[in-house]
Amino acid sequence: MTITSSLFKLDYGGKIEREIAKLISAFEEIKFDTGRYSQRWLALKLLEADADILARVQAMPNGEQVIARAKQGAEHVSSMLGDDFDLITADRRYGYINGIVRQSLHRPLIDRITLTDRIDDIVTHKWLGLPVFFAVMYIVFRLVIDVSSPFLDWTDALINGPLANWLRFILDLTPAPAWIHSLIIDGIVAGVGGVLVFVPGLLILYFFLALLEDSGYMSRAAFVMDRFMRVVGLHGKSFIPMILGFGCAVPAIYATRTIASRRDRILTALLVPLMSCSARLPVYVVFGLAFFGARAGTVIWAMYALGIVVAMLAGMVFTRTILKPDVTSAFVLELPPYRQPALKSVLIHMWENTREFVRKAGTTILYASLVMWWLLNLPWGVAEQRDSYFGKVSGTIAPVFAPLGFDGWETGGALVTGFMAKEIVVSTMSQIYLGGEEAEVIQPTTLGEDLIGIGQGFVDATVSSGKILLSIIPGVNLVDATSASEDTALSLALRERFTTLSATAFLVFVLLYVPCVATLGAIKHEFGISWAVTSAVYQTAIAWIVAFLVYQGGLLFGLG
Amino acid sequence: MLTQLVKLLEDKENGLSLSEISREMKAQPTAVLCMIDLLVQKGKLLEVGPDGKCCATCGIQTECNLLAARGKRYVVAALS
Repeated sequence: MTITSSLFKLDYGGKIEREIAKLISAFEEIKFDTGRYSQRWLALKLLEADADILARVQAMPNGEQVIARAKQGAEHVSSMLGDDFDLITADRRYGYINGIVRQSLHRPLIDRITLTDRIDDIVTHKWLGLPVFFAVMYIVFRLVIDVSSPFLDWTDALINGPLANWLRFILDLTPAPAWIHSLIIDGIVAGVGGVLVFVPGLLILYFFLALLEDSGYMSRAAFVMDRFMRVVGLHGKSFIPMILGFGCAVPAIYATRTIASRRDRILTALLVPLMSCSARLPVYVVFGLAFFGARAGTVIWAMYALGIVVAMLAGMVFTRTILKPDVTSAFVLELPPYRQPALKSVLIHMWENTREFVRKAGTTILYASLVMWWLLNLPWGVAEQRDSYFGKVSGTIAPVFAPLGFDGWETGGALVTGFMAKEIVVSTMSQIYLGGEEAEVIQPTTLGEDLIGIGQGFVDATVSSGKILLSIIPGVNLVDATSASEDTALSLALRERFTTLSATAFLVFVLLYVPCVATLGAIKHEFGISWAVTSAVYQTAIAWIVAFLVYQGGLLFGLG
Repeated sequence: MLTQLVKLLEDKENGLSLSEISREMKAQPTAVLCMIDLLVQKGKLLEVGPDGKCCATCGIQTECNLLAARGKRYVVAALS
């Protein structure tokens, strides 16, 4: 069968067309039978020196002569046009195709790379990159803290309200002794529930983190922060967990998984707890209002700044001692194109990270809660908390804090309970100084009323979150201005036991001392027990030293 | 088109990436890539890495993060 191409013939230009025609003439002259091939197509392939066709023709009668003629013709054209014959023909074909495409097809260029480049011009800009990054993180931080707060209250009310009541009801149906009731309600529900309260915040935090990560912005943030983090011997990727540490250190520790180098992960995890987490805020607020009045805001800001400064100094020390940079931890930055995050991927990411937190931190908190309950209730029948094992231990360690300006057993006890969660420092002090809360009278409710209340609370939380979310938009304010409730009685009690200087030293100590048990649990889970112990020891040592310098330095300058 | 592509790169001492070439030539990257492949095959163009060094001699092209992130660049062989 002969293949013909009578319908279409691409014009390769005078010089090439002449050589094609000369070669076709040579076929007839040499009496070369092109067989099933079209004469024009075969001539073109021979002139282009197509390896496959050359091999086939060589095996045909008179093939050698035809190849020699073709080679001669191709060299002639190449010498005239200054390029390889096959490149010239390819150029003509591409030109022809381009002409057809331009005449027949009108479509915008696929511009994704260009769009990525344009966005990167701003977000990774030498001067604009940093403000853009802080603006993005500020928005995320506000969304996590503000938007989740109604849901935190709702979860708190759910756990300490209906769930605790249902447990009490079930326990009342059993012949369990009173101490079992107390262990479950005051120990497990209060302890584990205290952690579960933060789950809505974590869900929202991971949701926004997944959005940033899936969109491709996280890589840009790491790029922007890279040069600053190098001062403390880390890479840009370490900055994200440290930012998260302002919310809660536990997810921040888990967020170090995005860092490839184990050495960098460990160093980041050691520095993250120095970022002042939101659990410390109640302590700052109570002491700030009690001792600094209108300057409370400045003092609280100073606590955050001090945490960052101490973290930088600690990072430099670690980099020069036990965590020297390894040669394999070179930071290769990948900047993938921006893309629209997939909702399913974001939700899976959000759920998996939160589930991990609940499973691991919840287990650690459960054990710690049980131990703390036993310590507060032993020996059996103890009437005064100071006579409990907890009170005695607190009294024993209290002298350690004497050089820092606070040596009461109550303060020591509050700091010990703060090991479970920093916000417990305030509640412990409130219980000790103000004689504890009065037993709450529980109004009996039906299961239906409880369920309606839970649903109503969720709707209210959703509406409140929505209002807060909209209020982030400049010019929109849907949230009523409410002042933080001030515990005047506690403030008065604190003023009787602290001076302004010792209160400052106490705040510094709370900022820097041992991370909470959930954070240490996360460090242990990620890096092993030795690094958890290292974190606890070095932070407590730094806290003691800095608080000592603040208090004793203040005394030297006559500020006491 | 091939001539136009080579001429375009002759003026660029540091070469151009695929996206830059396709933008300059107002053509789809996939179409341009076929032309580039032919020119590289014929020795007219050289593939170089984002740092301007030659990728052709590197044995870890498929694992190179830098190359994956920033892409290859192309220069005219005669100028390199």
